[in-house]
Amino acid sequence: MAEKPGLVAKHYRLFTEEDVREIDRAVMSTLENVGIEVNSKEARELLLGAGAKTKSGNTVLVPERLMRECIERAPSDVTLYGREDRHNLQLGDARVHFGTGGTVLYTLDLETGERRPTTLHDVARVGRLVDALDNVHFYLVPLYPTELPKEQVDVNRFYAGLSNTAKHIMGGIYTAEGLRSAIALAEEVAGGPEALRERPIVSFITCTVAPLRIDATYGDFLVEIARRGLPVAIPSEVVAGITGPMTIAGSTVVQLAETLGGLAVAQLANPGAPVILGTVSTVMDPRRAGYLSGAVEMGLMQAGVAQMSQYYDLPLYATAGMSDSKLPDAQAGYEKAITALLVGLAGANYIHDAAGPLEFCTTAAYEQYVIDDEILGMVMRAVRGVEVSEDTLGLDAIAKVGPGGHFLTNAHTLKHMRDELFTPRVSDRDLREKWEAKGAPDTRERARGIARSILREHRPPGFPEDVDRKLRQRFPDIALPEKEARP
Amino acid sequence: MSGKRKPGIGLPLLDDEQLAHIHSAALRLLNTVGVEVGEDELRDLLVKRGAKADGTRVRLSEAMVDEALETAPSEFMLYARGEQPTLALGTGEVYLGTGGAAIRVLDSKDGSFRESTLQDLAQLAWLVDNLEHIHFFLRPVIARDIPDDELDENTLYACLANTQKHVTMAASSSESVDSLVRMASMVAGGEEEFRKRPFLSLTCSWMVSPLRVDTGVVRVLKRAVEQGIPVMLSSAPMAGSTAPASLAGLLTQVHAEELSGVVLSQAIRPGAPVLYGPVPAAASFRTMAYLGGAVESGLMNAAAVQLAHHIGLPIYTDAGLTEAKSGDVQAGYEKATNVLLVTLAGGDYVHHAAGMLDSMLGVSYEQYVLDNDICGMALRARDGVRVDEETVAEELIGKVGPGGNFLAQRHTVNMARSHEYFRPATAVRDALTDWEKKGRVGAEQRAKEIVEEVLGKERPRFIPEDVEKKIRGEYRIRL
Repeated sequence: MAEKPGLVAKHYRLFTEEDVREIDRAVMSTLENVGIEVNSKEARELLLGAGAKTKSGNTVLVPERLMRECIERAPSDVTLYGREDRHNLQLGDARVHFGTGGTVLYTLDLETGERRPTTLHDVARVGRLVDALDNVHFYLVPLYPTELPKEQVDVNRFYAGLSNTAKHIMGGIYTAEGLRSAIALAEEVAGGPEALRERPIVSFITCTVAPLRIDATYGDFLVEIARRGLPVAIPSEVVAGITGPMTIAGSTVVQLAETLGGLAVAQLANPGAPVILGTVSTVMDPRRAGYLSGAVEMGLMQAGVAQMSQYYDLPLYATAGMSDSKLPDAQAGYEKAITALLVGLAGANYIHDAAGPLEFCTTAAYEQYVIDDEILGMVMRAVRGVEVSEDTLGLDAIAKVGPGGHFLTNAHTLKHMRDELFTPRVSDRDLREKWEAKGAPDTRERARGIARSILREHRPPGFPEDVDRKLRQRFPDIALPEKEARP
Repeated sequence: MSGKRKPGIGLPLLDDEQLAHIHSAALRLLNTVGVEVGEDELRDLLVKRGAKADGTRVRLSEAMVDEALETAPSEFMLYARGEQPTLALGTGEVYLGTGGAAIRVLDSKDGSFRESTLQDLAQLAWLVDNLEHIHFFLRPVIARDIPDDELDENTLYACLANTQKHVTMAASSSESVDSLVRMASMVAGGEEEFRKRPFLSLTCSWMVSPLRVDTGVVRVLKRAVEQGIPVMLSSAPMAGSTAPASLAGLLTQVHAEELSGVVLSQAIRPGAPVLYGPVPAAASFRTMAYLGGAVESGLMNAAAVQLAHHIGLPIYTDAGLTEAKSGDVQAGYEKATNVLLVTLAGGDYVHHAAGMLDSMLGVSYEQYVLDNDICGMALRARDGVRVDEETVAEELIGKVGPGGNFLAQRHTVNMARSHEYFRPATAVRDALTDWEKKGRVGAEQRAKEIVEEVLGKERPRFIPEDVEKKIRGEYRIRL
């Protein structure tokens, strides 16, 4: 059985209390003495108006007292809604959720296996696939429709997502106009601006630019989203060794300073605005000075930031479950499992990029979503841990069976076989002979079969026809054929 | 890479209260249900120590358990030869190694499995001798080409001649224990030398779950303990068939079994070095088949680490099995998940951590190389993150400033070379264009190349020529 989204991770912590205090001290000192460059005039003026000082140019020093006040103002819990309540995500504390992510430009075609540019069609189909995968808890629109002009991308990504899954939709934004259209679209689906604010079925991402910068466009987006009272994640993307110190601890300081700086802007724009701290940070490969997405050190870095966000009592958007491999092979398996497990056990709230991506998160594969759903199911099972109660100890059953006996027909067995064991979908557990009789399919092949059958059979809850008609009238840019919006 | 444990990190799945709860439940089981001991001499020995016998059923008191835990050492060494690492058990260090008694080897040319031979055992020993993150060599395959009555001596010889890492194996009889000790002593340069630094330990599956002592194997256990060889008290209950289906239930039962093993070993020779040795397994709900790669196996092993440490003993635990039949993505995620869980938990001696496929039945040469990377990553995770002035690098952050670049900083160069970073041998980290240029070589192919390179290397002589001659004179060595 699948674990419930939002299990609390209680067991694994990376830092000692002393480590946490030291990192916090360095973060506050960096904000106050080094500062952040804020290239959005509006964002900068909000900070300066609240007591921050200009250092030079657009660099702003944020005093510790101001930063702590903003942390205080920000909500500890942010709930992201699905179109169905069972998909709601209550972010905060050490509650764990996993989902998709990335803005990939290439897909491994499900039929040919060839790498080809992604289209709007893929955005919709992957949404439908994710709707059926129990351990993928949200749909952060992971693909970029390469055939569309930039100004049509935002509304189409959100439309394709919302119409193909009832899970929560988050997305990055490409134009200011696109942001407004995406919000208007979501308001229409939710039943008005007030309804959307109360039950945000969509949320947004505005990145900071490492090290220690908020750029003009994203700064403006951040202020606008915060003012509208919609949830927004503010991920920092430090690459240790390039845009942050080579050490995990040092890069942790830089990314926390950045994302907290963004949080301060949002809280000054609209006190209490539902913001989510964020990290997409990782380490570099010293060999080619490039980005790594499957390194164990990335998992450690993300786990550490999760612990820090719990210390600040703020929700966190984190990253894990990626791979540097180009294919769903052994490397993809171990890299994804290790980072997803570390960050899940650490209790990060909204772990994205955890399903689908390959090749440094630049390519996605349909079968990889199915494989990753399995990995995430295992991770969620590990997060649940071992339950100890009089019932699970099973002393009566052991005494009744006695030395040399067996438990096969014991009532205790029948009960706990169901609630203790994760049930896999893609993993092979057959005896060799049976597996060979099936044609000895490898895992990738089995996952492809599952993806095909989901796409053939699964019908996600679509919009009512009249809502859809209205959407298409109001947003003529919508390019997804009707039959793909209401499959 | 296995650095010192930092206080505060680890994976405590069970809190102190839960540990105490399971421990006291296990004591209650030993006191009320007891264990079956069909071996007369050992049952008498237990009775002499205060156990109550009712036919072959033996009940143990808490006082007996406490007394045994007093004398069983909580820290001891498993030695290696040459430059290979000594395993300091009970110190918080995690050691990962091979395991199994597989009967098949994957032929990477066509994906078929063939029977394992003595030659395979020798080659695998040499391969593992060359893999950094695999710390010991528990004989992973059975030499199917050797008659049963010559198997033990040939197994030990093939291991010692091809690796200097610590060797663990099973012995088929108490006479065989004596024979193995004699051969090991010859290699060590004398019995005294061997006893001082035993580079051989024995795993004994003395327990048939639930709660029944195996009459034959326990005699082997007895002889090994008398000989002073470190012993793994291996008990392998399966959830739902030979133990309760609940994880905590299986743990309670196996904890009771292990406590009885500690009592037994300490009754035979107080102070004998033994490893608490549960090998808990999940089973398929549908077929009741063994599931080594299930995440629940990792959870039970990780929790068992805590139980062992709760009573102050080092643990022989397991992680790294998979039901996958080839080194595909499933093998990758199943192995990684459980090896990471048990490594984070602090398992002292983690076997099955490299090489295995198809549950317990097969191994592949390439898989040892792939798993060496998984082990390295898990150990890196266990080492955690150093937080101090140098790593926090506050001054450097200020110096580089907003919008700057860290690439050319001396700190970056120094830290890139430090043990902050694990360097995998199989993971492909090239950009797509480079990967394509290099012929789309994936992790499995890289592993294959490393296998070929190691097996093609000239092997040093790990047993001196004169000793080898003596051994060959005395034993029926088939290698």
